[in-house]
Amino acid sequence: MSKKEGIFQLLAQKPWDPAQAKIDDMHEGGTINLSKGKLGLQVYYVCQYNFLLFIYCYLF
Amino acid sequence: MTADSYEDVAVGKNDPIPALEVQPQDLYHAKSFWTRWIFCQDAKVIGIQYAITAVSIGLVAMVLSWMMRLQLSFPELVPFLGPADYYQFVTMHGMIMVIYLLTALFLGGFGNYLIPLMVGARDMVFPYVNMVSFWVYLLAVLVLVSSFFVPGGPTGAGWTLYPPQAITSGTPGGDGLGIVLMLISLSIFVVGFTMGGLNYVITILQARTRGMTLMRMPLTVWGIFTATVLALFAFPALIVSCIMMTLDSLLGTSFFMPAIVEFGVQSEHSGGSPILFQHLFWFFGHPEVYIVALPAFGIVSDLISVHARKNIFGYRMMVWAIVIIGALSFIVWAHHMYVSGMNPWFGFFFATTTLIIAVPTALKVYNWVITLWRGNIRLTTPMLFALAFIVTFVNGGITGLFLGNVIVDVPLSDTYFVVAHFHMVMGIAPVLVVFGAIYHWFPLITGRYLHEGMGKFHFWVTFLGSYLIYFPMHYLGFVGVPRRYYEMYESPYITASTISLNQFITIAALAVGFTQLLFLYNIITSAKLGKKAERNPWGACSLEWQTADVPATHGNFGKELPVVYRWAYDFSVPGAKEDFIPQNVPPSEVPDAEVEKT
Repeated sequence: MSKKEGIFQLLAQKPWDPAQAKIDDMHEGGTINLSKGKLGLQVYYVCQYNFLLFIYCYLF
Repeated sequence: MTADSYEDVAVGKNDPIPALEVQPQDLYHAKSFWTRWIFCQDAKVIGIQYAITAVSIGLVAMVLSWMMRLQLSFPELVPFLGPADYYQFVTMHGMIMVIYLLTALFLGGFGNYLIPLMVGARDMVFPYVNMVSFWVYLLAVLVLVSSFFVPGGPTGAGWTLYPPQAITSGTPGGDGLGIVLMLISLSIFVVGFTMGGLNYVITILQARTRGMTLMRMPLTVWGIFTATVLALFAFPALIVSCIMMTLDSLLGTSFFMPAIVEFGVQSEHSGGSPILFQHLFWFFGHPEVYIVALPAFGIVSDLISVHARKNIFGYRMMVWAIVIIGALSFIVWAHHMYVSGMNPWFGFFFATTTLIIAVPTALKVYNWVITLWRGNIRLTTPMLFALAFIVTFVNGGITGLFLGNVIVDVPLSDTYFVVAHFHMVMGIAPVLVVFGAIYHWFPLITGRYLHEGMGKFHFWVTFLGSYLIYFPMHYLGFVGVPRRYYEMYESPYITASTISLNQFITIAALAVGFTQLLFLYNIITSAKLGKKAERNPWGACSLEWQTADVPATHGNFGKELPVVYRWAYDFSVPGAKEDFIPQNVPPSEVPDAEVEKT
């Protein structure tokens, strides 16, 4: 899978298809070009942003 | 792990697999009893710790439900149970079962145990944070339990904790520490879950082994992944509302508290919005249903495929359905609030979205059934539980269509029909999957089978008993018997026939409950004395059965991580020697296997 592949292209893959299998066999395992730590922090920030959004919505 | 570990891995002259550069992961291996079983960083041990804690607190909630049932049907047997106790038991039973048992068990228990194994990772990506997440969860449980022992006891506000009732003095535990401890416990739970959830998401996204594309992952992993994402977005609403209500209770703020007269005295609150709490709570509360259901969907898909010896029908549709259900679950929350007095147009919108969510859900049910069609079905105990899940989920889902419609929901609101609906769809159905999953993966965890005879007995009593409990409850709801009533005595609304039906339900509930003790006995005895299981005893294709040792040691896969060459559902492939091809078997080892049509 190309790392630039969109979610819809990804979900359209046929994992049982031999042509797809040849591409998939080369896949290195990661999905996003970020280190685990950086991605973890980004996900965490999104959660926190969401948290702050609720308070912001209430106050204003 | 060195870079040249995979140099000799190739599937054929024209199809080489290049060496993979795998960064070595620092694993803190246990050196003593304390680091092996207490402060362990191995996700598998953490999963078991989660499971034991969740089941333990779940047993407390089960005993509470027995007390409630006895009070409703045979009050003379529980003379010590007053009205306040009853409401406290209702509240604690609901909250424990939904949050501290099911959420923790599916995500913390199965998630921790299965994710690294199924995606071919050595462990979670942040093992220390993962360990802390369990201890924070345990702290949340202890804080919750401590509310039983404070003056006034735990909160009796109902598991939805609606203000202003939740923090006013007329409510059991409302003016004491009970409600505060509940809110603090929930906040701690969310903090702990966030630590664990980050691990699950990042491990699935970034730490899969070579060849394990997202679309080659077993549906169990898809279910847990999507549920975790939902939880990471939904739990902030819960923690925000908990913190705000704690401030309302302790500091006299008015986030949710309007100006009200309490026992003839004007309260100091003014201007707060109780409806805002309902919105926040259900913005979390409805995705919570799917936080429990999606892992169950994933697990049951895998159980059906393995035990029917067939590839899962419509794998891509199943993945789409999981993702779409997860997304839709964020725009249906106010169907829990049809009787809150909100704008009718709002109700129309949420009724529509609620019915739309039935489409991908039904699609999954069709796919499970078609997977079974012409399969080589083995009626093992895990398979029985998986099949029972489908039936139960359909039953519970159909009553959800009733309640999703405003016109039908309003008269049924606050009756036993609602109790029956959510127990079928969110209580019994996921619990059946939990049991099936435990029977299925017990050989992986212990190297031994659970006792099959006891398992079948456990299944039939649980399955049939659950229907004896909850089918009559639908009828009680239709004839108007209200929920949350402390006593059931004859009246124009509660007739003699419904009282005897209530007694029948209680007897069935006690029978089902005691059977769970047999299940615990089975687990304890089989872990030591059970029949030894061979490797991969069910003939599954997914990676968790391909570990270097069974039970797997820390690091899971020994010296080399597996390389994945296929999806997790290559069952009964024509031309293959066996009726399954594990994901890490290269095509060169099964040269005669034909391509599957799906």
